[in-house]
Amino acid sequence: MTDNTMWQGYLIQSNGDNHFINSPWKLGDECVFGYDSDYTTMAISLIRYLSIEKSNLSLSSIDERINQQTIIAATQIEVNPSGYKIKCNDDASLQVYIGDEGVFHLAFDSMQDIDEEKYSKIANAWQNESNIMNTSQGAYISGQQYDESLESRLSLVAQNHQGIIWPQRQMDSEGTNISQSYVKIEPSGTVTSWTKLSAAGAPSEFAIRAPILGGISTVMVETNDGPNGVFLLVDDIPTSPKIGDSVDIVVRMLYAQEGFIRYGAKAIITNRS
Amino acid sequence: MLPAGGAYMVDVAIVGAGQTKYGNHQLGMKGMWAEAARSAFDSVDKDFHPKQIDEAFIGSVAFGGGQLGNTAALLTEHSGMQGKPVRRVENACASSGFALRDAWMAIKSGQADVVVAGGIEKMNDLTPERKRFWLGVSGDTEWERLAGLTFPGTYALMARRYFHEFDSTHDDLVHISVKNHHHGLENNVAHIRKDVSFDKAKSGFMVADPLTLYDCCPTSDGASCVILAADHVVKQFTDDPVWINSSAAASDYLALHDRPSITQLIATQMAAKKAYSMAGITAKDIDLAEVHDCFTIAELLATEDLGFANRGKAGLFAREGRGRRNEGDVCINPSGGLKSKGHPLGATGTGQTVEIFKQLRGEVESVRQVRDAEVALSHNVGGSGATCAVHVYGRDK
Ligand SMILES: CC(C)(COP(=O)(O)OP(=O)(O)OC[C@H]1O[C@@H](n2cnc3c(N)ncnc32)[C@H](O)[C@@H]1OP(=O)(O)O)[C@@H](O)C(=O)NCCC(=O)NCCS
Repeated sequence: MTDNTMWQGYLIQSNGDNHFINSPWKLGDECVFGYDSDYTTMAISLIRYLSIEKSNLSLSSIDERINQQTIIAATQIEVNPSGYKIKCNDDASLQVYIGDEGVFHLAFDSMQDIDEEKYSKIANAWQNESNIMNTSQGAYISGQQYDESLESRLSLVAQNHQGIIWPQRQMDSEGTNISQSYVKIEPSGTVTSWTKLSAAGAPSEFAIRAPILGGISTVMVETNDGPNGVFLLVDDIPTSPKIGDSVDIVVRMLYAQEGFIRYGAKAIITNRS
Repeated sequence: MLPAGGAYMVDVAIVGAGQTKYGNHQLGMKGMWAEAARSAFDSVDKDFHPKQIDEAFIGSVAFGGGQLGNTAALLTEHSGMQGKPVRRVENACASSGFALRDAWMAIKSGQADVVVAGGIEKMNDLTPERKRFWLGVSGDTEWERLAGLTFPGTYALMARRYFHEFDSTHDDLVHISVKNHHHGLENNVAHIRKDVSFDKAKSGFMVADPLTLYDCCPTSDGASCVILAADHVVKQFTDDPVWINSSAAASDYLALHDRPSITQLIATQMAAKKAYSMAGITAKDIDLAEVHDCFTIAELLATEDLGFANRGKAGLFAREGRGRRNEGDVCINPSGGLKSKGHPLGATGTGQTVEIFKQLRGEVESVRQVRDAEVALSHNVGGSGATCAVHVYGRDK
């Protein structure tokens, strides 16, 4: 049995080929999700953790509480009968295992109390946002446009064309088509600039949650592989960024619209707590 | 029309220019456009009739989606230009800077003698949420918008990086804000007419850290219209034209993260270089410049990109007040700029030209007049710098 390991903002325990991930937040004695996490983001995180040691991971089936399209785009995991089972628990935890389900206990000592009022406001906000009637008021990212770059956004899939290109593009400046060669950039880098947006400065997709969170922070990151990107910081670790900070790129919920959640890459600062 | 053969290149002059007041306008789009067109028609010194117009180019983002298709046909129908070839030009906040360039090219090509360039935006008839939807349509929506960025955010990233790379702090932006509010104070068409002290501008509420309310342009309604004429017909309209000495434009990567540097706008540098070379001048020859200061950091960067200050030195330029009216090297934003005059996206580019037309003809409120103004420049940027149009104007050809 391994201890609780902090990984991408979550806690992980392993026992043989049984692996357990839970949110670091508690409300009373219940484990609850952080402000932009759900089963999908935690499952992605756990699979990425396992992928460090194991290649060719597969899942035998995907629990319906996990968004299948998102987990596949973010991890490229395959679904086949001999793969790992994945089981979402009733609280903010899940496990991935071969054989029989393991028994894990939440490490309450390593968990933090969540702000109850903020938590319930954010939970309501997600519910309102996820309503099918919450539609765009004009300009927006359509479902198709969101899907088209999903893999590139969640897995940082890039192109290798006289250097690494990310986000992907169609042609280079000579007019040569760039092939869809498959390289992934390492999901970590350094903050080169940052801002914190008040509700007045953020796009209205974030209008309901930005005031509750006290604004949202965006960082510009130079990844270790070279390409730059802009990412929101995760919502539940309120660290003020600084230029030069190290970050990891993880998957979290961005916002919901027209009945479905948009997931995306967000940054976690790793050199300071 | 020009004689065939193309042996001679026509010069282009502005013979009339007008605009609505910027701000919260009571009128809708048709009414605002008609008001701007009327004021442009009436500004022509001699007889002018809209029937004399050959073509019209109207810049608009069509903010709010109220009239997305065939905007120009609808608007010109309400200003005596029925039947003319018209179209909407869209390049985000640089829409009418490009409309002006298109109008200039139409005359240069010999296909038209009298051409209207204008712009319009109606922004304040929307709820705050809907406004913020539309303020995010001109960045790289798929990447920047999903990272929470609209333009206050992208410009905030540029500002923070600039302070990191150069000897500059937010106070330099405050100087720009104070200057532009001061320049716009007596401008009858300006949206925000408040003299703002350094302390007040420094302590505005934070919109996108480090940018506060006083670093941001407001959201404005407005329309602007200018009338261009080929040199061989200018005399029919005025003995006192303002010449467009050059028109240049360029583009850049749309997303900030795709650019090699975020502390300079390459599109501005390229357009300015071409514009100076075509006009046969340098930055030192400019007496006044209407610069695209959608955020104060945008003016700071433009001060360098347009060549008024060396790289890394625009903070010092701002601290020393070298862009102040009748005090500095060059008057930057005599109208108050987007910060004070306002920023009705599609109307801004030709709105800058209206100010220059009046400044060079000595027609602005006397307290605002830039002394001995002979050569002027307008700089109109789309979004965070993906498109840029620069024009140089003179009393002489
Ligand atoms: C800065 C901004 C967020 C402020 O919006 P807001 O909080 O809704 O402001 P309000 O309209 O409620 O105005 C509040 C007060 O501030 C004043 N004000 C508004 N915007 C201002 C500005 N930019 N500068 C100075 N004062 C301003 C108003 O006149 C009002 O004053 P009052 O209370 O005395 O009447 C908004 O103007 C904005 O988004 N600007 C940027 C627009 C943009 O991105 N354009 C595209 C650029 S590329």
